[in-house]
Amino acid sequence: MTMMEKEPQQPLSEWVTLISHDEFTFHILRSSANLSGTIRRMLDPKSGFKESVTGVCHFENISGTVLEKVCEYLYYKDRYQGMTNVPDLEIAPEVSLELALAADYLDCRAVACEGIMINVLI
Amino acid sequence: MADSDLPSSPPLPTSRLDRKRRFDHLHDVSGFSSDPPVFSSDPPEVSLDSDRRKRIYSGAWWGAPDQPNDKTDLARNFDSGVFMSSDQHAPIKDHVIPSRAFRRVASVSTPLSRAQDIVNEALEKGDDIVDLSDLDLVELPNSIAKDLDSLVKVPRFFNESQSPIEQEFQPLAPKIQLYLANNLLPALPPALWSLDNLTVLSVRNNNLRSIPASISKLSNLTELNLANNSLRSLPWEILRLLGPGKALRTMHLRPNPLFIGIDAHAPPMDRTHHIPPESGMYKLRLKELKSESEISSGGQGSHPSRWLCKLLERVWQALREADPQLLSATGPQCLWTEPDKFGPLCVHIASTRVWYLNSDGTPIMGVKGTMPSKASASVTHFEADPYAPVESPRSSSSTPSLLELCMAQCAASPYLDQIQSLLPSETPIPVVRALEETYGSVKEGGRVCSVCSRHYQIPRAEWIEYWHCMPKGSSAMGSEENFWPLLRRGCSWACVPVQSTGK
Repeated sequence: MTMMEKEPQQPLSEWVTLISHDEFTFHILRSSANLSGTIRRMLDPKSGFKESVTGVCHFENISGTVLEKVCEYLYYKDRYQGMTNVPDLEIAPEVSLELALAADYLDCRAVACEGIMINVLI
Repeated sequence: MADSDLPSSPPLPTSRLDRKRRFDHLHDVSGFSSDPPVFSSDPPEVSLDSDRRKRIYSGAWWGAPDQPNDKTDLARNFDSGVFMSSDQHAPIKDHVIPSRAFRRVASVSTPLSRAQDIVNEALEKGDDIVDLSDLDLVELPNSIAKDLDSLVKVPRFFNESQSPIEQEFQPLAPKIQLYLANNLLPALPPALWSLDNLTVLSVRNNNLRSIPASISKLSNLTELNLANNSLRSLPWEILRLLGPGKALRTMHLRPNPLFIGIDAHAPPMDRTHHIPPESGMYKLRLKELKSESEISSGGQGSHPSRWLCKLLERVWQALREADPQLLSATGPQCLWTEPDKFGPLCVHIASTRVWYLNSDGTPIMGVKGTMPSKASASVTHFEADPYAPVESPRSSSSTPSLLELCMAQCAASPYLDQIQSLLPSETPIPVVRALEETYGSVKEGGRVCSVCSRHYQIPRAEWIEYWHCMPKGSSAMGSEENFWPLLRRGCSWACVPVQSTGK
């Protein structure tokens, strides 16, 4: 949990809200949500986006079923970080293609880590 | 009118009322379609059917003799306005060409149809030698390989007069020998890798660019001929077919444009570098090589002397582990004197650096040099130092990415080949690439990580391991052509070479 530096009105909430285009709302842990590059940049207090203040992210191009799976994956990724012999996350075949597109969108490549560019999500 | 003028109704024949049946009337020529004449004055009944007999002909319709057609004399000399088939100029019987009715129409024979014919014939006869060589095949369809899976041998009939001799008892499980030599095949179908009964596979003289790792599933293979293709490397999994206790005995790999690991600028290895078979000579040679490699290497990791030094160490170690008594008695010579005990001994010599890949199969940013699996024809050399320390993995996590998980689902879809063409044009390039890679993995018959043995679609790391392998028919130990480049792939960034050990 990080604190806002300049205007310390209140500490950043531990939870963030993700809303799909069909109005499904998901409350997930900020630490897990930050694994996605796109979401992290939206929520970064330094970015100055609206989402960083409200803690609510709207995804106009992601449906509720897909966003639910994304949230599930973020928790899965958080849970098994740095581990080997990880079980596979179950994904329904009918959403797999949409989910692949969402994965590409949510992680706009480029997370500097150990001097090289890596993707966390995709 | 007097009643007497009328004929009386005939009395019933008495025979009809007899208890006992008589069959005499059956022999009556007139038949019993109408009653026999009652009065002797009655003229014998003239049967209307008498000269109309059914034309009895037994046999195929096209072989029937020409029938006199009475109706042909009738001409229709007015136009009824209705078209009838008899209006045609030529008589109908000319349309039927009897002897050709069921003969096969001459068809254009393509390489594929010829191959299918050969396979069908083999299936019918239960012949387990399938020779599809010299057919100019540009593609081997999956269905042909699937058909071969159903091959069943036909038991031979014993000679009844003699008691069966021992050679007549044979197992009915086929030992399929598939010869595909001298064709133009650029790839092999995935169903081929599930042919458990395949014992001989020859793909000599084709255009194969790679051999999928699934080849390791052919555990009964005794002979493999890959000569004269466009192979740059072999799958690392091929080691599972070689070695002690394995069926594969003979393997032909050269000529192929395989990658070279030994320093290209070093002087070529001469005969004196080869390994002497005797125990004492061997130790001397090892000492000699060690000092030579220390002097000559000077920062050059891939100098031939270092490779040979490593080879000697490894062979000695492997033999000691396998059979210490035999080794002390005869030295490395036992490799030749007792070939069945060791099989084609394979030892790991060196590994190249690891190429880490994104989850769409492209190399990560900031890494120079082409990766081995995408190398152009001009790249022939991938340097490797036998004594280099092992790199630590870039990531310790083997969690699959979301894209990889999605692709695993897509790989199971039967419509994978159509998905790519149905994608909208604005589909992000990584997703398209990932789908292509997934399709490639399906065409290879699935991929299994060589490190953690998990199923995967998109490789995340690849490197080349140079192994020294000596299957039957290869030249002397230590000669350059016995160092095989084996392409190894990992499913995550944690699946990279650990400690470089022998087999």
